[in-house]
Amino acid sequence: MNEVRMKILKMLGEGKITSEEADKLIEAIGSSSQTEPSPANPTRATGVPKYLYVNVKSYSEEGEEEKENVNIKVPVALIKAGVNIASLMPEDIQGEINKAMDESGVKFNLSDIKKENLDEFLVALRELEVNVDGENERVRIYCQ
Amino acid sequence: MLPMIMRLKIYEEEKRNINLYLPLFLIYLLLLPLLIVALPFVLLWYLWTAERPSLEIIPAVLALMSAVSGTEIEVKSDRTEVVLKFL
Repeated sequence: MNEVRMKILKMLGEGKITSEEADKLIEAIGSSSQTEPSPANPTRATGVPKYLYVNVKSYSEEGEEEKENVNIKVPVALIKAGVNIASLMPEDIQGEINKAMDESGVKFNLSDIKKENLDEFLVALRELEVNVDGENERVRIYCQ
Repeated sequence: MLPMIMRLKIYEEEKRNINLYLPLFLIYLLLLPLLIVALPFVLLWYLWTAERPSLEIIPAVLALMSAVSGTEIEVKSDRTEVVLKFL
């Protein structure tokens, strides 16, 4: 994009275009770059995110020095494949899983997950961002 | 695509460190003859069994194995570091 901007400035310097025209062109470049998702800023992109990140940092009590650091990067495709396998399980096993999850306080039925719902859920994951700041810990969960 | 290399790094201060790049494709090659030998038995079992499991599970398992590629786990502390990556 900088190259195009330089060309416009060069044309302005050579007198091929007026300053008003140059201003309009630069403005047009700016608006087109805002609508296009750039790879450097993936949050603007749409569709299913590629990875789910979990970062846990714990700091020493004295200051900002990092004590422990956990970084986990899970491909979203792995989540999708895992849910697909879970939906293929026999009904009695699914029932057992649902029962165990229910006992743990998670009221969730595996058979409720349909492929369309899953895709929708994965697209919505792009917006997910969990930040937990404790006294000496920081947890961050996000998708990119 | 199935993960081809697994990287395992275990670093501990003042101890012997491990930094392995395990070629998983070699493991797949080693498992292939076993799979070929086991296939007729699995087929026989599938034909004999009354409650046949869905064959959809085979591509689902392959998809799960393929999706493992790109997984990274890093645990660092003052004196230790553990890294597990599937490439």
